[in-house]
Amino acid sequence: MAIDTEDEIRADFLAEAGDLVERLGEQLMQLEQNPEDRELLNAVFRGFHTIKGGAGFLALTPMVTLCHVAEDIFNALRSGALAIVPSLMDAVLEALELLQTMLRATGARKPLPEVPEALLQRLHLAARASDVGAPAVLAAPALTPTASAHVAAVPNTNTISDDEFEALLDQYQGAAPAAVAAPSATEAEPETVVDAAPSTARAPTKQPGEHAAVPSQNTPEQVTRVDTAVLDDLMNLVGELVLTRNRLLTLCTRGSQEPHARMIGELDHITRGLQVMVMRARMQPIRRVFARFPRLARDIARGLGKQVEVELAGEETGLDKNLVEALADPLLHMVRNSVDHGIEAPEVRRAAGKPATGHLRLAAQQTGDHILITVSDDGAGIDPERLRRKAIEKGLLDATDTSRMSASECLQLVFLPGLSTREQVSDLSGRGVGMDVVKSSITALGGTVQIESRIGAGTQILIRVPLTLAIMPALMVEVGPRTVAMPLTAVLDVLVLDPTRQRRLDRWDVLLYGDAMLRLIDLHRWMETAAIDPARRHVVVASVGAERYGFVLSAVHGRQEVVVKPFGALLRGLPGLSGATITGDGRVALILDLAGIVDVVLGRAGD
Amino acid sequence: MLNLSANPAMSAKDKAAGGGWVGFELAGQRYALDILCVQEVLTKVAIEAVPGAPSAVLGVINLRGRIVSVVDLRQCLGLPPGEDTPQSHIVIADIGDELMGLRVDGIAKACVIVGSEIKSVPATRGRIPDPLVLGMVGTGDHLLTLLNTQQLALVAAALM
Repeated sequence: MAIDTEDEIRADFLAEAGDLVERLGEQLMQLEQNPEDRELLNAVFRGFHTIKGGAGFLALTPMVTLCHVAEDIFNALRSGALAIVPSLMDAVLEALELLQTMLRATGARKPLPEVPEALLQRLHLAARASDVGAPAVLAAPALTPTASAHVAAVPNTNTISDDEFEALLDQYQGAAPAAVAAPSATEAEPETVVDAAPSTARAPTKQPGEHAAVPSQNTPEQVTRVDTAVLDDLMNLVGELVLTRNRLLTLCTRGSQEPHARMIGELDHITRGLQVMVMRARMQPIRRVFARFPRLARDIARGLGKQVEVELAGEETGLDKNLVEALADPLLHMVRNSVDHGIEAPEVRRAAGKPATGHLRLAAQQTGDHILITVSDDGAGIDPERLRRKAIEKGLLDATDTSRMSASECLQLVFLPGLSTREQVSDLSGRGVGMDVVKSSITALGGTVQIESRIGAGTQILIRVPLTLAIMPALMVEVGPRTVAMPLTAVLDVLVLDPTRQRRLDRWDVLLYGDAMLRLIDLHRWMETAAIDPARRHVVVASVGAERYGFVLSAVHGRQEVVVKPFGALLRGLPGLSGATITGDGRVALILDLAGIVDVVLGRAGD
Repeated sequence: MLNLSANPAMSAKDKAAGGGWVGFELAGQRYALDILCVQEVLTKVAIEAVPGAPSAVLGVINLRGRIVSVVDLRQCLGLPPGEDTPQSHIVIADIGDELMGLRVDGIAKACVIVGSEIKSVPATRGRIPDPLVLGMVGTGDHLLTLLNTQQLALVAAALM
């Protein structure tokens, strides 16, 4: 019994500490930009303090030691006895990483690693080096109007610390030389200074999104942790409710009894509301993926002798939790690529008249029923001609194919499997895997990827993904007697199959489509069923990767939002299927994965 | 639809003595599954075939909004493939953390078996893969083969 309770406490602690550590990572990165932000310093202090408390309760001694040292440092920082310098920041980030390792070890019930003496020493040393009064603080780019503007905005500043006072002094003196004069601490005066501070000084230069995360953390008591399995079940039940409602609606239009119709109308309304709320409960801010990238990009850049700063925008944009998880790997690839291939070495950048530090921007925003994510850098850009040559060289395309392609079309070649533009393979990227994997994983999510680039100016990758994975716009079609769903994002055109325009070319049936040949894939054959009326079949034109295919089927029903349900373990990973959904009449409709079907057919054609 | 998990006849006392079993028929033979892993028994459900699936997997069904895979239990046991008849039932069983449908030729009544009546099976016995067989019980005029459901997940996966 006692063991069970401890397990529960441990699980709670891990969940909470995991969140805190994640948030600490973000906050530390923000602190680098804004070293004097009191609220941030307090938040970081509280974060380490809370973890220490929990670790103490579970007798995780090394974790307590580590948090204690960090806590001490931030306590000194917020009281102004210390100032942030790069060496201190590095040591604290390292400590945070160790803390993460410890949490993982706790989760796996392994003994915790001891805190290395070297790290403790570095922390102490860094703390000493940044002691206020030591010369190091003069170099700290801290005392800017931005920082002090923030100080002025902090409520309840009854007492004012030394560095806040200095900041205000600087503001008054026009922020000219950052002379750290010993503050003549008169308690009353600074207060009036705060009030008298010109309002213009409060508003300006705050970068967008910089503190977006802070206010949302102020009301933890209004948030409840919910097991994701419960949310999934809830979603399922709502889906069922929608189906039952649909059946009632059909019954009602047949019978059309007035009072019933009104009740069912109400039920309809409530069901809709419920569906929206459950969807919203599954939403998570994209910050959960974005947050790791500033540190990661910095670490990669450091390994390559480059400098990079990462800007995040729209981190609060919400999307389905499954999507948040599924986007982590593709985004990681792109950030790596940007730092590795895009951003140049500092001397190259300087020679090109750019700032030595590269700029990488990750942004998210909702546009209609899609989320647009952009990853942009101000690096070297990509030469479309080089991609064209590379594709021909590697035999991925022939010269006639590429001769008609525009520069922008050539850029999209980056997503072809087996194409790597890097002459020298590095251990990060450049093995020709990466961008094609990114593309296929985004496509699997029902999204699209596009690349834009200007030589010398930088590259921008645009990713569009649906708001949720659980509900997908689909084209409902009939293949023989069966109803199946095709992802609508890929569909370009629907037409009646005209047998007079059908030809046989090598192993393929092709259709004259405009002035091009469209390869046909007969879904009846793939589903091992027969067309109901072979004389009247339809073709759905869809894009699969860089190609277009015509899928031959019996009839097209129309567009429908379908609730995507995964297969059980026995059927997971079958090529050509991404799951199933339930139709209005309670039957199962398979959801096709067109890229998978093309792979299967290509495999057969190659035999 | 017969919901067995809510069957009041199967009291806690019975389970303590040996446990309840759900009996069914496959190729003229009697088999049984532990009632604790049987969620319900369905009849007349449209099974949607899945292209590319292993032959023992008949397809998927809609179980109140869940997509549940249905296997031909005959093929899992190395028997010739069965046909869908009016007597066919789908036993929804909880196997390895997942619900699975097992198609059987016909359903027989649930029964209680005392642990001491269960006889172990010789190492090699016909075509039935041994890991699936927990033991056998002689009940009057026929033999009842008790199946081990946890192993069923492994066997079904091996049929891929």
